[in-house]
Amino acid sequence: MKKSFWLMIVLLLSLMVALAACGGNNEEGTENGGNDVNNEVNNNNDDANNNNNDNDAEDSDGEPQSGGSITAAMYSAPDHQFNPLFYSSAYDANILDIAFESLVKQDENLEFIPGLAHDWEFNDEFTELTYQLEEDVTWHDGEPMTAHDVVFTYTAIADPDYVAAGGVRTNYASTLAGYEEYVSGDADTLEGVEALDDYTVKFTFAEPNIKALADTSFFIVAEHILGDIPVAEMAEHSSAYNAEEVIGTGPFNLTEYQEGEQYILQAYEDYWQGTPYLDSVVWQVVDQAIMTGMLQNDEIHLLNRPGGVPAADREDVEAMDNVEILELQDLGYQYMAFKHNHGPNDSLTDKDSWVPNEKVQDVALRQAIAHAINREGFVDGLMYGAGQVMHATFPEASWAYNEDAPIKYDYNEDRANEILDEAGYEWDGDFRTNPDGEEFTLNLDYPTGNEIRERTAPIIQENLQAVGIQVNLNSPREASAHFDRIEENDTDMDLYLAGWSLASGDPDPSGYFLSTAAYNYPRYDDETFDQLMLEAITAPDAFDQEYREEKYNEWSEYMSEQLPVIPLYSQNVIYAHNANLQGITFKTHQILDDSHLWYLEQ
Amino acid sequence: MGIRKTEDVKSSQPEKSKSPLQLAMRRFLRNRLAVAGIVIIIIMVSIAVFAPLLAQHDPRQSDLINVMQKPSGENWLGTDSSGRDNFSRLVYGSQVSLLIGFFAMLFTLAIGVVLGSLSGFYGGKVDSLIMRAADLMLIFPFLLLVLTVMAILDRVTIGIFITIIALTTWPNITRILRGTFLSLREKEYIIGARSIGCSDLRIIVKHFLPNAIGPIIVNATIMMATLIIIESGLSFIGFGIPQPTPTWGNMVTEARSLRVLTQHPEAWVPPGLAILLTVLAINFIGDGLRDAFDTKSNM
Repeated sequence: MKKSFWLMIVLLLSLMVALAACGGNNEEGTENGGNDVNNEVNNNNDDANNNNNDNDAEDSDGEPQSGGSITAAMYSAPDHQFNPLFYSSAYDANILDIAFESLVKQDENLEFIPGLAHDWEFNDEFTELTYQLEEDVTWHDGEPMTAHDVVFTYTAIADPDYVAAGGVRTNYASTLAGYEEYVSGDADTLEGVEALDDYTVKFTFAEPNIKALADTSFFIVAEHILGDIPVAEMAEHSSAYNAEEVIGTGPFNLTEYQEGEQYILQAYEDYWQGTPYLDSVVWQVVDQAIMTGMLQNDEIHLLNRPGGVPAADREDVEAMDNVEILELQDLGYQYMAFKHNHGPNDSLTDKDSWVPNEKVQDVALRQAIAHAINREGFVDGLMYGAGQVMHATFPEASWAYNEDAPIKYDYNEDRANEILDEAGYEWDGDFRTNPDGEEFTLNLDYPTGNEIRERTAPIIQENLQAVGIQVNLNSPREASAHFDRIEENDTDMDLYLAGWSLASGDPDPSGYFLSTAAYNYPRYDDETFDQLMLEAITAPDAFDQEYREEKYNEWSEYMSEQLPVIPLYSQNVIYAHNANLQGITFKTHQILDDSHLWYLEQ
Repeated sequence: MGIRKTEDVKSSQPEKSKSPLQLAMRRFLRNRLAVAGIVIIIIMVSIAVFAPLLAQHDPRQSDLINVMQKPSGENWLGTDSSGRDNFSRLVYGSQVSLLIGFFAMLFTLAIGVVLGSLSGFYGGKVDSLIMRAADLMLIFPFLLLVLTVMAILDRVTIGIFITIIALTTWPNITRILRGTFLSLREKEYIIGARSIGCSDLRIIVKHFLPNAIGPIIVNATIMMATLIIIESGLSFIGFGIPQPTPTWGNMVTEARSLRVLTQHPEAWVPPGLAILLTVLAINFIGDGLRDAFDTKSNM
């Protein structure tokens, strides 16, 4: 008896250890995603800028030292789509951001500054933009980077097969002259981008372009690597996932990875701005819950977006001597979308095949739902106040933000009940029926990984059931599976949770809200909605920022009335880095620029 | 639970000559750990049954104003990260854990008994067919298989969870029963029954099963403990019963965060202890039963 007792204790403990170990791995594989949208958001967040300055001052204390390797953490695994033309998740972006570069990038104030191009000029009509490229830039395999690579990149995005192959970046090419002809297959070359010589490239736009710099700021890919692959096959080709074939110009080069665990990027010695100080950067996929412990033990050196330090852990992390933190308002936000259209196939553009999802067509229902969800509670309770409730999709950091423009739906069960009563949703037992008297249930899907978002899902279900809307909460999926799923038309999904992390400065939402945008996951289709967005970026009026502000106010109001999605909240990002890791440039939109200047104090 | 009932009935019978079951009963009651196990399980079962009386809060009801509260008169064990009452979740969690443990055990046992007796009774082709199927199941790493199935399903409910567990854990009990039946097959009374023309079903039900009751009960008990651990483990890594359903595993999940682990022991120690106690108790009972049914052991 005694023997078996102890044996059992030992077995029990070892089982617990085994399960705990599994816990780490499995949860690592899961979680959130804001998808990375490269729209730009101008920002006049003084706090953020002050923070940056403080930090710069601190950083300049020590002399940079070469050597060492750092580990950075994210809580969901990338999709393993390392071809920049086809990536869509913020986790892949973490890797691509230090392996690839673009012609221009943005500084702390979201002004454009030189990247691969050292100079540029517009013609008087703002229809032509000519870039002078740096001449000593080489790809990770030693080949020189030239204007032909730039032409290749934009031509690939405009390719007739690009969207069908899974590309979501058409907004970077669609303003170029000759785009329509090329994408429809009528023209053999894309008129809008042209290499004048090896180091000069000219973009021509169909109309005066008010955000030409933003539109030409996409990652440049290597023609000698991808040139022979048909665009239709590019996303599936080995160059998208085989580390050796992921060739960029950035300071770090992806050399190997274990799927869902870690991604190793070695310094590129011949980097054109000088050999990076660090020998390597390792991205690890780590459960959000254990990140703080790893920070304390020096096991991870950097916590980046999405997510950063959980707000609940902020005080603990602040108290750690070996860790420095920095809280910035996020340009991204979380939302709950209605799936407005389903369909037999997954076509993004063929609206004729779309079948309206009758359950969510009623605006009154959507408005009632907005009143029923306790968004204030999410911010105060789940985020410990480190965030803002969103009423329109422009975060406070954006110049397009206007507090008074959108209709505000406060958390108000009574109001939600009133609206539902008026709209004919009658109580029948525990829940309401639809206006036709039929029972109806909304299916809600959500991903794992982002802990706050995970927690909101059961609360949303509870909130909605409190006003009589029956919600079927599906089991959470691992993030990349979730994002694959919400792209599909052929599902019974009615509601889903997701987030956008907005990587750049222009507030133009057409890249993901326009009914024809590949990122239009809710499959929302509304003429007025589209038109307002387009007017806001149509020259010549749109050169006037006040005009654009007005348009975005109109759009915000219309959107808050129609509610194609319910903006939930924007969570502050709390970046954290080991005190020995120096030289990081903190920008509102991202912190991965100039990673060749990062160094470890030894 | 089921086991206890059997014992009560048996022990309340008037004293006659001692049947094997009565002998087993006596041996069992002399095992102090096993009796302690029974007491603990009785307590756990009554907590589960009287959960609505014990808990003053709805275990699924979030309260965003009171998130991660320390214990107070209102919330005896504080609240979790969504403001749900930890004590209520602990109490209701016993329902889910015990339900899953018990019914998954019954389900697995049913599959095991049917397949095991067919296999052991008929032998030959039936036997090799069933045993190869069992081998096939055993080849798959259990955890991986379960995780994959859970990941594919849109929605994991308690019923589905029990079914998945039963469909993946049946080979072990099947093998044990097949072995038992194989050894019984050549016994004289079986040959006797056969020779007087008993039907197969009658032989299995009347002669096989009663004689295999010892191994069945012992294995079923120990299996129940394993199944409770499996449920907690899967919930802990987020592949079990999804939130907001209260289960002990779901509660312990919160302790993955360093802050909860160090500053909120009240959130994870009680459910952890509950899992430990329940599983230990069931295993003690299982051990006691095994010793009791072992005819070679002394009174």
